[in-house]
Amino acid sequence: MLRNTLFTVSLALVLAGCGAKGIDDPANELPFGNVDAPSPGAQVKAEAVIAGWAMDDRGVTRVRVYVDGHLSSAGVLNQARPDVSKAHPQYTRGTHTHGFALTAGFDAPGPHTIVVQAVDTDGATRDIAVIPVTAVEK
Amino acid sequence: MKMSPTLASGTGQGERSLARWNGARGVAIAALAAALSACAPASGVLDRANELPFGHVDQPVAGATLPALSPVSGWALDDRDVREIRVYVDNHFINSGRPTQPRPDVSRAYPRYARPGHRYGWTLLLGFDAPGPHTVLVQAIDSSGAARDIGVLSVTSVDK
Repeated sequence: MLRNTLFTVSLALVLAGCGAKGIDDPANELPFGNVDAPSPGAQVKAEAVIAGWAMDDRGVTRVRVYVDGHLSSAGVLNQARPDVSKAHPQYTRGTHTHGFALTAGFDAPGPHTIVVQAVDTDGATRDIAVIPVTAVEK
Repeated sequence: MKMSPTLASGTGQGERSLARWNGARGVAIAALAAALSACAPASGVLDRANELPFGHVDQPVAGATLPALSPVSGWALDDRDVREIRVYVDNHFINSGRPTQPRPDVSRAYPRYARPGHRYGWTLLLGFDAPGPHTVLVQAIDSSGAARDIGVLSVTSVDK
């Protein structure tokens, strides 16, 4: 009886926590943001720092960096950006931690496309930048 | 060592109870695993071999003037499969669906991603709750849960 109850509660928590309904919630807003570096057309080394910021009405849980359509790195917001709080006061959620600094790796010199995405607490995902760059060394 | 009948009998009951418990626990674990995999395709999203989907919005075009209810259509491709197309208006979710329409022209343009049936085309309805300028964003989601914006369009809705 106790085991059944525990299982039912666990299953309910798992299903409630998965956010399956959240991503279809019309009240939820897509996250938004910007990549400050590198700039479009930049020449970059084999490993480049991708820095920027992201915000959301409910919260950003993840930032993902893709190179040529493949995941390169992922992380969380961990940089203080009071300037972003000042620019978008309705999305601060009581913190200035809106910035990220991640890396992108390039396996060959030449042109590449970086896509940076922000993911919110409901799983809603948005491209916050698409940046063409050129890797100049291996 | 010879067991006493009482102990042997007791052990048998214990084994049966244990088997029942293990069976119930197995079902519970399987159900939890199924629930987790259904709601969180996180491992697929983090698969570095997986490619982001891509595509195009054919209609409407950027700058278009549209009635309050308008179709939005286009195509999407992926190295694995496109699971869903999602449409947002002014950053809020509006509608979703699957690619169901044959687009052999897309297969010809991207033969590396072609699949039998060529069903890469999609058409969804777009609703605007007020006249004026709006931003339409269309995303493709692949079978691993990876998402990509395939169109961001500024349009103007002219009637309610």
